[in-house]
Amino acid sequence: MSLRRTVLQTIGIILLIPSVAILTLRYEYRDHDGPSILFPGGELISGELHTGPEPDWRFTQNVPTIELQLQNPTNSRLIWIHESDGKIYVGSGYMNSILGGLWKHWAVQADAGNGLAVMRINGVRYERQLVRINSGDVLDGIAAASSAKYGGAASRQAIESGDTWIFELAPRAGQSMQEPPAESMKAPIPNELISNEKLVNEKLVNEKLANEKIVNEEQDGEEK
Amino acid sequence: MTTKNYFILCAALSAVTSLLVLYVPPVARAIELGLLLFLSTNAG
Repeated sequence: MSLRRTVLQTIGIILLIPSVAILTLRYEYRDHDGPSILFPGGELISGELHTGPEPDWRFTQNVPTIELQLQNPTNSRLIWIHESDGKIYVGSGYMNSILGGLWKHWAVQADAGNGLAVMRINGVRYERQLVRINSGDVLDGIAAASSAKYGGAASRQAIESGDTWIFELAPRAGQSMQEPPAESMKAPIPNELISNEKLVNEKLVNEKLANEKIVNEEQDGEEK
Repeated sequence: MTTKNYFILCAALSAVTSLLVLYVPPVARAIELGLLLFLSTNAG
């Protein structure tokens, strides 16, 4: 009985330590600037934000993985990238399986949400719009690119059956040649609000000065 | 070992492991590398 107990306790400890380590690493990376190989990261912050014309995406043929972050939620992951006919795509496999349901939340979130995303390649960030592609002859090109680069990860059949989801990393509407949306889409603050804010600030300063005066007078009175 | 002592040991080991991972970067890197090696060897 005692031996059995000791063996079970030892197994418990052997399982506990790696589990705690993995959970801690997962926790540590959640707000990290980008993902690690195994764990998703947080918002992509560092790196120059690309503005200007669309690059020649053929350079991505030599890039094994990119960092991809959705605008909402802002966690990021490493992901394969496919280039076909001057456009770039990312995929998510196992979508019809339980594993996919547990593992590939980002694809569901991208498809259900607005699809706004940021990717980082070689230290440069690009703002993109994820657009799901699930039919059409373009899938042949994507499947061929995938096969050539990664050994047939995404076949047209798998994409059309919904087992693999493919998203085009399209330029955001009207933004490919402009400033980032975070700044450019900010609405101007109405003058009324600015003047109200000034009034509130002035009132706060006056109240603070009055309070200080009262305290000083009280202190003077105590000293006398 | 009594159940109470066992749980105390588990809690202490968990705390030490978490602190090592959080504050000793080589430990975190080694664990991640070990995991990657395990997955690349056993996946598929």
